[in-house]
Amino acid sequence: MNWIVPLSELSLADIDRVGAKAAHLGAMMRAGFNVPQGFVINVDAFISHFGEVTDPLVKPAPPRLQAELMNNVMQALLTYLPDAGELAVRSSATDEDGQHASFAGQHSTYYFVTPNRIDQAILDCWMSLWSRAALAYRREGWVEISSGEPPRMAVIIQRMLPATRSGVVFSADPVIPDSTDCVIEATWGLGAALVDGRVTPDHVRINEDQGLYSYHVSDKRMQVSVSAENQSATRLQEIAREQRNAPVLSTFEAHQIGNTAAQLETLFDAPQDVEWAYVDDELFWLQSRPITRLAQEHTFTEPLVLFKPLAENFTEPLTPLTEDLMARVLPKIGAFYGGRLYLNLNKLQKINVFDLSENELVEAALLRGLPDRLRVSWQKVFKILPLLGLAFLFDGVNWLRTQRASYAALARYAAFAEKVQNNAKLSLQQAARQLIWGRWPFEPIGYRIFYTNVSAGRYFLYIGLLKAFTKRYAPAFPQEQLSATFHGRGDMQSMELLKQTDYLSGLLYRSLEADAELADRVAQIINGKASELPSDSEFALAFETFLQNFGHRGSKELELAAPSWRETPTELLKLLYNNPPRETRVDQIHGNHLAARDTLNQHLKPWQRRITSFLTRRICHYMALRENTRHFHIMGFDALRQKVLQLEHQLLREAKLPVAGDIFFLTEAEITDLQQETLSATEAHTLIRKRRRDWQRQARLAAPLTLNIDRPVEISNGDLSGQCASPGEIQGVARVVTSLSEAHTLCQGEILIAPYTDPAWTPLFPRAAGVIVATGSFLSHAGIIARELQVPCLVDVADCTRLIQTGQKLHLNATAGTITLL
Amino acid sequence: MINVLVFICALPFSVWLLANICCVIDEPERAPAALRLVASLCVLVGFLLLTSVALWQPVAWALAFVAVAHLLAYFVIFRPSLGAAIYRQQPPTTPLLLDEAPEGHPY
Repeated sequence: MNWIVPLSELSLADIDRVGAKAAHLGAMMRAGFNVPQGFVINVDAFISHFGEVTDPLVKPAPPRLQAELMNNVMQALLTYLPDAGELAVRSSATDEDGQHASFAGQHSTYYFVTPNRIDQAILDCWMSLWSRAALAYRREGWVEISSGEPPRMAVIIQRMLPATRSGVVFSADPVIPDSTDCVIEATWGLGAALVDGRVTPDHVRINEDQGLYSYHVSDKRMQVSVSAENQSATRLQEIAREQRNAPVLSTFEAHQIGNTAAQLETLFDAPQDVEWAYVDDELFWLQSRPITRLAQEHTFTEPLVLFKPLAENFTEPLTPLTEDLMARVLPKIGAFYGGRLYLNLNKLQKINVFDLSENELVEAALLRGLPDRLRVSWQKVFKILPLLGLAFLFDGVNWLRTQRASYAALARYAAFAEKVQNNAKLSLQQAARQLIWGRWPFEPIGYRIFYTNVSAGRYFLYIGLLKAFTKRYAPAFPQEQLSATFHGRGDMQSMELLKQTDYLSGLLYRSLEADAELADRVAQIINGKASELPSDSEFALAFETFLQNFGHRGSKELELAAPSWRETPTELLKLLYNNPPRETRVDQIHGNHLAARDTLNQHLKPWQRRITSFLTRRICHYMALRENTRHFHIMGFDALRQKVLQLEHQLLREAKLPVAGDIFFLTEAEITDLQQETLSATEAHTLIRKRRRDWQRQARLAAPLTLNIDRPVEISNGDLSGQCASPGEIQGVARVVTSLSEAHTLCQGEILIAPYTDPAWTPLFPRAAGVIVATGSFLSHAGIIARELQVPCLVDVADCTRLIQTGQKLHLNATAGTITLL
Repeated sequence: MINVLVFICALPFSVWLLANICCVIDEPERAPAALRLVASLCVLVGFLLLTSVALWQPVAWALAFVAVAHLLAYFVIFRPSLGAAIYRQQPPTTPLLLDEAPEGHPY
């Protein structure tokens, strides 16, 4: 019998004979798509070796391969793949890749198979029909939604492609409902690293109307190499530093992939999920199957509202370890979903004393402000008053202490965090609790830094009082000028950070002009060819001092997996290098603040001035307290990260974790199980792999603002509007900066369009004529810095990084909360 | 009756007094002096509670009550109330190409 069929002779009509994967490849080949040459061992060979599978839950013993089959295969190799060195041996089961795709992905494919081992690879492929994953699927009842036919498997044998770049393309985004954007994910080397979730791929979006409108270059640390030198078991290797942050695809190549994916969608009459690979400049297609939209369903019923103060720091979800630790040390009013922190509206309702509708409460929880006519619910007040009284007796001491907390008091936290970090007896959870809430109530308030940070948020109430007071007693004073009256103290760590980075970039530019060796070394560091500055330069000393003070900071603060500037000084150096010295406006800004206060005072009587003076002093104090405590509580997260890294180092040394960074995808209990070997390294790897992929997918989704709350869905209709975080009006050219790696593209006087901002973005603000942020609130970091620098800033502008494009002229009226594209 | 009234009136005063003492402890350069002050205050409160100086006893009880209330609030109310829920999405019925579990074994 001849069990061999060349790929070029197959079509979709052959699914029952060769499985869906092979039939799709054949159809693609016949339609002229560039598919690697190969042939298929059809399902008759499988039946001849295993018979019909009557009970798919019982794994049979591996049979001996019949000599006739091997003769067929050797003959086919000579006929269809005469020059092939290494081969790819791929499964193609009859119940995968099709409409009933319940078994998709449960069977094996083997790469780098040499012809002398092809018999074993074929057998392994067949036996993967009863892999642990496939058996688990059947036991869970998935067989009911498959075709009902007994499972059979064909085997595809193709030339092994020495792919230099590879990835997948979705002809329609599977993650975002109703999106028709074509999405490409691309990485260096073979696609196996992508499948593993170890690499965050470059993410490209192509839209029919806008063409290629987004190319997000990721830091790709690992690749599965095809090079002959790398013969390790996984072939996983680190990518050269200079290649890590380089884009995998050119614009032309991205369009080439996108256009072909659209053609495949037409060919198969459904949106397609396609695997591709480049060998140098030649594009190959490895697999195509219909897209499965990912379910976005949940079973819980609690009404949740996104917790803005965390969401505005970074848009990505928290990694599982950060989520696990934070969930155990945050109060029950919080809840996590998809790696994002939410507030439980039912619990929030219990402590709300105002007469607010559910929608108004949601808007308040989203920090979008309170209704103009705020009504106190006296019924609720009487109910809650005894509780407030008790709260004062039970916690009033700490509350009052934060009124007087000086910077020196807060600075004690540094020593405390170091002590907790070095205490080996503390578990991660215990360390997290101590670092966030302290150990007991009467210890120095500097140790209870997170509590102080939360309580400092009361400045929002003082601002409300000041607004109401000036509206009543100084109606002629323009309200948009009010924020200028309570800023400009300049004793905030964020402003200090700004001053220091300005000083350092000034020093760097002067040093680069004067010192050719330093200039050469800095260029090498930025290009990834060197890592250390010459130790004797003035700049290196100043840089070191800066790292001592601000080294615990960096991008994505509050995420344990994110390295600090101390760990990745190159990132900081790039930021400084791309921040040319500029004229400082601090004196002018301070003058504007004083002028605004004088103007307000002219509208008030002496007793009214005393009240506004008291309120502005309180606002200034609590705003500075909030920013400064944040500077220190991030130090606590850094200490916790160092503890995690110590654990990771130990697990890597014991070969229980294969790659650095994997630990952040386990929970603390799982890490303990891995240490005690009640969780095997293989099981941990499976968990990590799945969670990495889930995390990457979540990272592409915008966090839903609310869950289980019946309110109008916010649909972006192209109107650009948001919440005023710093008043002012400006006309200019937009610059979309989606991550700090693109920070250098922002030119002086442009309007910065960003998905979020955190303290690491601070050096960009003075360069910007205006700031527009997709997330955020009046209380956010963007708002505080923009107000200090008197830069017009609009926050909470949904989808702004997509709706506004670099180079577009726009009019930003932050005071009115509007943006007009010119 | 007068003792109860004095006790109730002394409660907010006790919060304020303890907060001011703690504020001194919070400042690193003044902490040693403040600790001596706290020790003296504890001795004084203890003395007042153990003797029958009737006028001051309710005040001392108020101070002791506020101190104990803060300890209770932290250890009995606040710490057990920690623990935010983690909700999960329903897993998709079929994986994408990227989810293929054992795809791509080097052989």
